[in-house]
Amino acid sequence: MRIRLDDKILMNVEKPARYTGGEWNMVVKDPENVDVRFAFCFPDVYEVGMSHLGMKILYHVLNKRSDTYCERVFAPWADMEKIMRERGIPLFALETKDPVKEFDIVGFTLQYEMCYTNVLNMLDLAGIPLLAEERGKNHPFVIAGGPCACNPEPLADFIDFFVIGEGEEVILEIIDAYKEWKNSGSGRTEFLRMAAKIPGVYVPSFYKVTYNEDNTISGIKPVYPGIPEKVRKRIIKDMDAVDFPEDIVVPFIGTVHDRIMLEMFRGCIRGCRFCQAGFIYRPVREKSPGVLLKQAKGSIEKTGYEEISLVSLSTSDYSCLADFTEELLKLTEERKINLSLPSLRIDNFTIDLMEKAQKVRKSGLTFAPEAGTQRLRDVINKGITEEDMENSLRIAFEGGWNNVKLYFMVGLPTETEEDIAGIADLAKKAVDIYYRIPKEKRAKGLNVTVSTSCFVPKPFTPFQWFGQNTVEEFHKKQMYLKDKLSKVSRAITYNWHDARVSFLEAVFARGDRRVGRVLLRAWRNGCRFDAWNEFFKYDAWMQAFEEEGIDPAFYANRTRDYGEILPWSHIDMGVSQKFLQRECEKAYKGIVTPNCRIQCTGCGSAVFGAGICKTVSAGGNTP
Amino acid sequence: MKIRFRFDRGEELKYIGHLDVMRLFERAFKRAEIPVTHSQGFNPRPHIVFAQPMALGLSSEGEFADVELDEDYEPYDFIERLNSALPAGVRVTDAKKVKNGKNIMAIVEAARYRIDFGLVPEKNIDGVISEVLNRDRIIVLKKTKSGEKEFDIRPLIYELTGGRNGGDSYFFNVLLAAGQENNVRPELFITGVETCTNSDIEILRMHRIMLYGRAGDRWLPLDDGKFL
Ligand code: SF4
Repeated sequence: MRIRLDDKILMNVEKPARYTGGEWNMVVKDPENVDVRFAFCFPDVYEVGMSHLGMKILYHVLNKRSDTYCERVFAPWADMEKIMRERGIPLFALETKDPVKEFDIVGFTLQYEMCYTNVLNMLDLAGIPLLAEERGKNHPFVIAGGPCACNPEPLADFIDFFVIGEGEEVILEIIDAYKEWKNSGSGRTEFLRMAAKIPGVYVPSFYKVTYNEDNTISGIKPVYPGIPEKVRKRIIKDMDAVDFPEDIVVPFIGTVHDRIMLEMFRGCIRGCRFCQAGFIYRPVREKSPGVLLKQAKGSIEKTGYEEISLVSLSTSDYSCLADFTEELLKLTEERKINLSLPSLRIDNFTIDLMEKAQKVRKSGLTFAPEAGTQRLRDVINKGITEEDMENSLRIAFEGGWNNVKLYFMVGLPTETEEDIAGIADLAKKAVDIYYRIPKEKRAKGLNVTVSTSCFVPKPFTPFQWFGQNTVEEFHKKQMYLKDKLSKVSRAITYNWHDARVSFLEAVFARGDRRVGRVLLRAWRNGCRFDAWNEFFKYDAWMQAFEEEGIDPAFYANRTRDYGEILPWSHIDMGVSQKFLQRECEKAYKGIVTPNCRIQCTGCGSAVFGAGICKTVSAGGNTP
Repeated sequence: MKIRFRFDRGEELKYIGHLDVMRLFERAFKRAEIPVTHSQGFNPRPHIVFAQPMALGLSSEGEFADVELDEDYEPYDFIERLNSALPAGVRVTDAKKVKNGKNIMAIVEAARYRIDFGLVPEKNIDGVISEVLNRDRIIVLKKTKSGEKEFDIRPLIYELTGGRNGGDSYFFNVLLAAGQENNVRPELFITGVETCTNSDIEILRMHRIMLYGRAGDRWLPLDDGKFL
């Protein structure tokens, strides 16, 4: 059965091209001629999903196999969902318009916690039972991966199995196992048993969680012999050898990132203590400049894009940045292509680079000091000093920029009123630096935007034990800062995040299996697209917690003991708990940890025998 | 050099707006490695001019555009290269070199549409057509930057015929003003018909058949040798 969409539907929804497919480079196969049909689901709207590099990579890797057809599925926007429900149109894939229910494997990528209700909503729209245990012979297997899968527990009841870590290799092993299982004709559980043997695969129904009287966890144990006690994440050892898509799908309508995304390296040498990505993608593995240039050239030719953006957690840390960008600039200039350079530290070299790359489009510069005082920046191990920041700001203003954004977090561990006031001081400093530059040398019309997000403690970071500030505390801090900033200068704009969203993020980032019930209830109460302001229904969420008798503060605001069994303790992301604890202790003392290139601090990721861990000498503490 | 080309857009690609169509062509030119001339300055723009914007929901077989190129191309070669870089749903069907003449946007003065629609049962199509043609004025509300304005579209309906498709579906074949000076979109025309006949009309499909310029007192389709 193919879904037919006509004018009556498409002319009545916003951006109908979200649902029509047919973009340049879309993979076309005959579903009759493949063994495995894979529905790659992104639990957000088309424009967000199509901006995601991980999805592009796996789409490509899967479709390279002639026995597999991977298609894309996005969450329909509310207007489309309404029509689909009224007319009984099930969730369908963009490539063939076939219902998702008819696929063999339905895979979700979990990029942020606030997309979880969309996962449930998409399963429901597809007509697939939400609970894994209710799925039978004729249902697809529902799998999930992505950064949020490092604590899979809140979704444990809904997902047949999770993929922990990077997907390019393990997904192929899963497809092989699936084909073998399909030919064997055995039952559903048998496939799960086969999958559980693949390193990096976590089957939640094969683990039993027990609880103490105080609601903490007393144990997480496999229920069968032969199931691993701990599931270790998968990583790609050699970034030069792994497949990277050059012929990516080029959307017709504008998307969030509508450009070529050239991935330079994975991981980060820095170890900022709040940053989950910095720990779960360890160790740093770079692509060599030659490979990057080849991929850049191929992508330009195969997509026709007018912009290329470098992707990494910290562009400045790429080991041959100067030589590489020089070569890349030659390529882009000749073809009239914009080069965008995010995550760059601002110094004279990079200003020069940005001017060359963007042909002096002085749109705005972003700085992320994260905390307002040097003391707190040391606590979080953000390796920049007051002086670095002053220099960067001065260079930026002298270079003709007049629009800067400063990003901070509130609610970081050990934070005091002084640290919040420090944010205002820093903003003031920015304004002063600008006015100290002679009038004729600076651009007119200063604009300093201060943004604060609310700190969310995340698994596999040194702050994973830390109790988040309450919504009221956040609110007080935001108002205190707002007041301070309003007295500094009219050139400053202050934006802050909704603390209630961050509170829920913390619950689901650090939740255990029991919060899955709340998720289901909240979805039934009408929650979806929670990451979108216009859809976020805090009251419906609070009602769901109440109805399920679950206290969100237990997960978000409680500081946990080092000894407590964490909901993700059976997941092994490489970094050891010992190391994280050591980092946490150092944080409280304000002691900074050098980056991997200066000295290896024995985080545990050396077990993968890849990337930077092979080249730096093991220093000081070993795990 | 300047090339003028004709293209059509099928059902599968009609759900994107004019800006998306422009971007689609810019990227197709890049993929085809046909070097489009760019404007100078900080933010170089490719020199591609479309005869008439394409609204969302409209399919067409009579679209035209001019493009300025850094290199010389034979029209045949141009068509083949560009088509190999265009997604299913858009096809270049004709092209020719043009000397610096009138800007293509300035040539267009009318457009012919086929509009399929469902009619209220008690109306008949011939009656509806004469109802429209016999009016002196057809006043509709048109959205402008400063709210809504009354607007007489009757003088901008140049020709109108129609018939029955079978079943409850009918069609109009209508020549409407189009271009920079005056422009009546097919939806606005249908609104006008609704006012004339005091009925609700359901649009089923809108298709642009051809764009027209003027030659003396005659309408001349843009695929005429005078233009293409
Ligand atoms: S083992 Fe050492 S070098 Fe490797 S990621 Fe950890 S700290 Fe860095």
